[in-house]
This record gives sequence, C-alpha cells and structure tokens, in this order.
Amino acid sequence: MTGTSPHSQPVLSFFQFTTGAPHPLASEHVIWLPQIPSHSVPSIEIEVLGDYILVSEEYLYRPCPEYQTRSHNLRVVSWKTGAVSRVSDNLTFIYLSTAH
Amino acid sequence: MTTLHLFIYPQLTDEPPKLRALPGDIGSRTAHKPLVIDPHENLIALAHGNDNRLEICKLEIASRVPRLQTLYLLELPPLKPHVRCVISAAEKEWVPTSPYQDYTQSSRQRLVPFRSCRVGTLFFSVDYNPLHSSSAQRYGMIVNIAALLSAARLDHQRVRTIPWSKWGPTATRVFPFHCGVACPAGPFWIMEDTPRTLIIQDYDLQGKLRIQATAENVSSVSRPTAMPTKAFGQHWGAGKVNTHLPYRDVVAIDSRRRPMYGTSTLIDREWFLRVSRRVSS
Repeated sequence: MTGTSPHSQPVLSFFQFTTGAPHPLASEHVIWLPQIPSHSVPSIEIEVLGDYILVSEEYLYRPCPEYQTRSHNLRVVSWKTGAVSRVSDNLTFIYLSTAH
Repeated sequence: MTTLHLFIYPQLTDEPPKLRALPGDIGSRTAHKPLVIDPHENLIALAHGNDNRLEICKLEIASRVPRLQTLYLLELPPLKPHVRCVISAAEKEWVPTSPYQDYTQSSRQRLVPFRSCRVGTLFFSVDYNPLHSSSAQRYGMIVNIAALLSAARLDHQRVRTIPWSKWGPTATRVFPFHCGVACPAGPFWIMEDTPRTLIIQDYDLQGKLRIQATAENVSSVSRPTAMPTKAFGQHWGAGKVNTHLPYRDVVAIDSRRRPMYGTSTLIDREWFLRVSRRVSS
C-alpha cells in the first residue's frame, strides 16, 4: 500500500515478493480505494482476515486544545475479487491532551 | 447527524465537569484502533477508554454492508466517580503470517498469501486522570485472548456485559507502567529496555518459544508465576487491582559495560539486535 498525502488516493497492490509478478489469485492486482479528502492526511493500517483485508484510515482532529480525536474509517477489501466495501461503523478514539 | 458528548474535567480541581460536544460528523462509537484478534472468526477487539471497557466484535463481511457486530463487552476495573480513563496505546503481539514450518521452497509456491494467525495477547497502556498532574497514573495491561474468550463464552446471552471480576483477574496482568508502549516480540513483551537492563515478560508458558537460560548468557529466567500482581491506585473503586495471568520474567542485565544511549531494538523471533551509542566523557 502506498502512503498518503493531500489529494492522494490509497491503492492496494498484490505482488509476489520474490518475483514481483502479479498475484495469480487476485483478479485485480491493483485496487484503488476512494480518494482522500484534500484537507486530510490519514495514516493507514491494514489487517488480514483470510480472503479480506481490513483497511483503517485514521484521521486526526483537534476540536479544542484539551483533547484530540482520531476517527477511523473502516473498509473491507476482497483481495481476490477487488471488491471494496465500507464498514458501516466508524470509530472515534478520543485522546485527552495536555498540549495547549 | 450524530453528536457525541464528552465530559472534560478541569485540570487541577475537582469542579463539576463541563459538557462539551464533539463535531457531529464523527461516529457514535468511541474506540481505539481496531485490533484483529482472530482472523478465522473475524473477531476484532476495540478498546473504549471513555466507557472503561473492551469490546469484542465480529466483522460481518457477508452482509450487504459490512458491519461490526458486538459479541461481548468486558468491563475494566471499576472506577471511582469522576475518574477518567484513557487508553493511550493498544498493541497486539507479533504473529507470523504463516507457520514456521511453511518457510520451505514448496510453501513459496503456494497461492494463499496473507494468511494471519490468532493473537495470543494484547497490550494496553491505560491512563487514569491524564489531565490531573497530581493524580495521573499509567498502567500497563496484558490481556490473554484465549482466557478472555473462554470467560466470555460461559454465558449464553446475545450481547453480554461481563464484569471485571468475572474475567479480568484471570485473563490479565495489570502493573504500573512508565513507558509509552510495550514492544511485542512474538509471544513476549519487552517491558523495559534501558541501557543496562532488558526485561521481557513471557506469556507463552505452554508454547514452543520458551526462553531458556544457559550458562553462556547473562539472563535470569524466573519460574512461571501465578502469584497475583497487586496494583494500588486511588482511581479504582476498590483502591487496588489483583491480577494473576501466569507469565515469566526474563531479565538481562549487562553490568560490564558503560551505559548506552539511544537504544533501539530489532527483533526476529529468537534473536534481537540492540543498536545503541556510547557517550564518552
């Protein structure tokens, strides 16, 4: 997966490590995820769930000086079919901060 | 539009909390990043510091719109009123993407990559009253997933809230913690990595990756301990928490050399490499 920057679009790529060849079981070995909003630079983490990959886009907000929040958009990607689905639940992690 | 309210306590006083609202475009669930703990059953752990509990979900992939289905809610140690709990870090143990025996020529030709393993333990860094400089406390918590699920599955209700006393003491170790986050190394956790001392906790007492003390090494390997760890804290309703998940301490002390600084550690299963710099006077 590539990193993200403003106006960026995450992409999942499935290649064989030793040869660089596209993965034979993936019908699409390059899968584009929805574009990232231009004002956001999320960090992206992935977890493997068998035939699926859970992609978590983490956005950082600081709505007021006392605390910051990290909001996660979750997507499920079928690495065999290339289908991308958004998980209905968003998660928001609230972190108190002493920075003023 | 969903609006989530958050109580913020003044930093140095115990005045009544002020109610503030977070922006309305965020979700209604508050949790740390999702941690996949069982990829075979699509089980995910969520840490809710605001609610002082953990949540075990099943990711329903087959449904038209994937969603997180709550299975269990596991309460953390009960708190006194007005105490805030923040889970500032959550990590899961390092697990290989395939079993060791599959690192063969034939396995390289297999067409099923991305396989992942069940997770044995999680680590949480739990902060209490982080904005109160006089009472802020940080604790580390190791959670054994198998013990947690075993306790959770004893009941048959649809969604269950399991009190701390029913699962916590047996499935966790809670201890004062002064670092930011513990570093996973397979089933082990590096709890302290200072210039002269390396302390590892081994929670894989039945596994194959047991650390063995030898005549050549300078490590001391303790016997497995089931003795409770008693952590004291005024933020807890009971004033203390007793936990007794079995583990062993592995302590390596290098007293022959001068302190090294800027240590970083690279771990590859059995071996670890420490990179440091020595400061000359």
